[in-house]
Amino acid sequence: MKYIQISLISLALVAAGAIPGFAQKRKGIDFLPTSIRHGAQVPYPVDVLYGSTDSDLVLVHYSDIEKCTEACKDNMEERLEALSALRQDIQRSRLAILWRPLVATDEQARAAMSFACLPPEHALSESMKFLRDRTDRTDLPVPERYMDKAESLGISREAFARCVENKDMWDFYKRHTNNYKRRIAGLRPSYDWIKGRAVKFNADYLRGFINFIKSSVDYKRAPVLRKILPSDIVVGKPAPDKIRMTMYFAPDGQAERDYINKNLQKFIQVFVASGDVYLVIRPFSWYRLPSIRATEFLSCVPADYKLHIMEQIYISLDKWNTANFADPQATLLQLAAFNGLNERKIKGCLNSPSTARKVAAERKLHQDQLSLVLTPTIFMNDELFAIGSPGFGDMMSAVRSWKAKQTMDRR
Amino acid sequence: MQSRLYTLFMFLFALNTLCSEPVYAQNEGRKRDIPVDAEVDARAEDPNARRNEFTYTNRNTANFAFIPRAVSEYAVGEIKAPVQINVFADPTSLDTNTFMSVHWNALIDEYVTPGKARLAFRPLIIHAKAALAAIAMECVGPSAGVKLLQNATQIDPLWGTRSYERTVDVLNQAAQKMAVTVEELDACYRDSKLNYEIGYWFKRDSRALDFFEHNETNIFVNGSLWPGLKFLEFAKRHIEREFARKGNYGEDNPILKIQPTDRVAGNPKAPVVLFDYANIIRIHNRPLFSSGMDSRLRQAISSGQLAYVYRPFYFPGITHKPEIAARCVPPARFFEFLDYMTINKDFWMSLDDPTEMLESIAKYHGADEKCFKDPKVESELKDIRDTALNKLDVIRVSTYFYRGEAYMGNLTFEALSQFIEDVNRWRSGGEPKQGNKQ
Repeated sequence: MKYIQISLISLALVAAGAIPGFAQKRKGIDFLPTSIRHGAQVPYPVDVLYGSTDSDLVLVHYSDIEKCTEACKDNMEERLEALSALRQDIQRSRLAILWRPLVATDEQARAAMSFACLPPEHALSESMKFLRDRTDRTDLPVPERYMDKAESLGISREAFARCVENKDMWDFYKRHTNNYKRRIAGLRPSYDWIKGRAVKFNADYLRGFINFIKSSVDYKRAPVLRKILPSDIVVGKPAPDKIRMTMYFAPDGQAERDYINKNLQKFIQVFVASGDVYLVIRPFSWYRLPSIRATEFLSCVPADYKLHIMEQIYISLDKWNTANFADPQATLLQLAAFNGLNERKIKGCLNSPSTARKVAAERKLHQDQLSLVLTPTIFMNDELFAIGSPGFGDMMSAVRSWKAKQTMDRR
Repeated sequence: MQSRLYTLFMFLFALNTLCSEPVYAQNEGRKRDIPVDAEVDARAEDPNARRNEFTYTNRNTANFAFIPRAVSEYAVGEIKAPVQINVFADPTSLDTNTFMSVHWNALIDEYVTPGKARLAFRPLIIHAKAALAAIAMECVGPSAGVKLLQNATQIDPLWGTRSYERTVDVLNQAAQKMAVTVEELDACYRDSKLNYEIGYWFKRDSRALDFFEHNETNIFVNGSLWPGLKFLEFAKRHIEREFARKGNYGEDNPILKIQPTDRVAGNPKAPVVLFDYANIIRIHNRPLFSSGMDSRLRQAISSGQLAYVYRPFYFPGITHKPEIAARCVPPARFFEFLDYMTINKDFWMSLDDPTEMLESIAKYHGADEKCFKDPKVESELKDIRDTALNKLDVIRVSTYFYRGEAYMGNLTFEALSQFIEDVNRWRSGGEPKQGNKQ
C-alpha cells in the first residue's frame, strides 16, 4: 500500500513536471541578476507585507526611523503618490511591498512598532507621512498616538498595545537593521530594493518593472534599437554587416564605471578596432538627481567630445556623485572647463528647460519600448544580451558565436 | 594466508588509529570533514603521498556550509559517517517534493541505516513560501521536518505550486498528522526569532556555497555537487564509490581493450593505450586539451609510443546532444574535429545550449545531418556510457584508464607520464600502491 501511495505521488509529480504550464519560460525576470542581498529580503511570515504573498514582484522598502535625512524626506511625497497609484497593481497581486523599519535601539524599535502594528497598507503610508513631516531627526513616533488610528481600523487598543510591546519583533527589526547596514546598503544606501537591487519607489518605474518581469519584451519591434539618436555616443563605424551593441549606461552608476574600466575598454580595442562591432552608448538617466544632471550634461556636450567626457565623468564619479539627492551641476561644470569646453555655454544648456524635457522624453521613449529596469543594459543587435556587467569573456564569446553563426549561415 | 591478511589488517588499523602521519589519514578515506592545514602542508611536502595517489577528486568538504548544525538542518545518520550527503533545495519545489517522497527514505534504507552515510537537508529560502515551509519544518522539530514535507506531498503533490494560503493550509494539515496543532504552527510563524534565524542560516549557506540563484535540488556528495534531481543516479553511484573505492579494474579487462566503436588517435598496438572517458563540451577544461591536443601528447601519439582512445560519456541535460554530433563525425576526422572544437572554444563555450553550433562544426568535419537524429547512434552512446557507469564506476568525465588502472581528475602531461610510470611499476610487481583514491 505504502509503495502504491509513493508511486502515485511520484507519478503525479512527474506528470506535473511534464505539463507545459509548469515548464519554465524565459521571461524578463530571468535576465535580472539576483544579488545575494535578496536572501535577506524574502518576506517572512512576521513581516509587514502590503499585498499578496503570491505577488509577482516584491519591493522591499526600508523605513529609516533611525535617521531619515532631509533628502530622504524629500522623496517621501513621491513614494506616497506611488503607493496610491499602485493600489490596483497591488490588489491584482502584481506587486507587494515589504516594509521594514531601520532601528538601532530598543527605543527606536518600540517606536517603529507604531506602524508595524497597523495593517500593512497603513504601516507604509503612516511611516512615510511621519518621516515626511517630522521636523527633528531625533523625534520618534509615539505608539500611543496611533492607538486611535488602530482602533478605527478594527484593532483593539489592547491588541495594539500588546503588539507594540512585542520585544521579539524589536529584536527582529534590530537584527535586520544590522544586516542592512553590514550587508545590504554598501556604497549606495537605498531604501527601496527588488531582488536585491536598489530601485526607485516610483509608480511609472515600478509599472515598467512589472511589465518587464511578466512578459518577454519583443525587442525586434523596438525601432529605438535600430536608430542612432543625436544623444548617442557611437564608437566605431556603423555598418549593416557589423554587430551593433547598444549599451544603456547611467552616468552615475558605479557598476557602469567598473564595467567600462574592466571590460569595455578592452572590448573596444579588440572588437571595435577589428571592425566586427560598433557600439551605441546611450547615457540613461534614472530618477535620482545626479543621474539626471549628468545625462543632461552629456547631452549638452558637443558630439565629438561626448565619449571623452563620459570617460571623465566616470573617472571623477566619486567627486561629483556624493549623494543620491545632491545636485552635482557645479562640479560637472568644473569638469567641462577643465576639459576645455565652454563652461558658460554648457551652463546655459543645462539650465534650459528644453534640455530637461529632452532627457525626460528620451528616458520615457526607451522605457516604453524596451522596459529598461536596471543599468547597464546591453543589447546585441535586436536582442537583449545582458542586464548587469558581463565579463570580457562573455562578450567575446557572444561576438564570436554570432560571427560564426553568420559565416555558417552564409555558407 | 588468512593470518597474514589479518596481521596486515591489524597493522593498518593500528596505523590508522595511532599514527598521525597524514598519508595514513588519507588512506582511511573521509575520516575527517575538514582537512587540517598541517595535513595539507604535509601532503604537499611528501612526494610519495602525492605520487601514490592515482586519482583525485574535486571534493570540497572544507566549507562552512557542510558543517552539521542544529538549526534549519534535517539530518539522519552519524556525523562521522564516511559519506556526507548534503541536499540544499527549495522545500516547495516539485523536484524537492519528488526527492522527499520517493528518494529520501530509500536513501536512508540504503546508505544511512547501514552507517555508510549521513543525509542532511537544508532549505533554500528564496521566496516567501519557502520561508514558510522552512519555519514549519523547524517548528515540528529536526527529526520531523522531512516527514512534514512528505505529509504535505501526500495531501497535495503540487502544494508548492499553489497559492500562499493553500500552502499554509497544506502545511497545517501535514503538521496535524504529526500531532502538531495549527495554533502551535501559527505561533512558530509568528515567532520573530525563528523567522530571523531561518533567514540568517540560509544567508550563511548561500554565501559559503555561492549558488544563490540555483533553486533546484542540489545534492552534494562529500562536497561534490550534483545539480538537480536528474543527477540523483550519478549521486548514488558517487556514494557507492566513496566507500567502495576501487582503482584496479584488471589489466585484461575486455572493456579496457580497443573496441570498434572507439575513436583512436595513434597506433592501437602502441605500448601505452590510454582510455579517456570524456564529454565533447567539457573536454576543453582539461590541461591536455585546453587549446587543441597538447603538443607533447600529440608527439607521443605520432611517435607510436601512445594510443589515445576517446570514449564518450554524457550526463542528463546539455552534454548529451553535442556528444551525438561528435559521434557523427567520421572516425578518421574525429580528432581534427576535437582540435577545432577546443581551439575555438570561445565560439560556443558560453552558449546556454551549444548543440546547434556543434552540429554545424560537426557537419564541416564530414558529419551527415541525418545522423544527428539516428537512434542507433544514440543507443551506441548509451551502451558505451552505461558500460562505463556499471562496469568501470565512471561517474565523472576526466576519468582515464591505463592497464586497467583508473585515474580520475585533470591530468597534465607530466601527471600522465607519472601515472603511466606508477602503473607500470606496480603492474610489474614494484612497490605496492598506497592511497589509491577515487
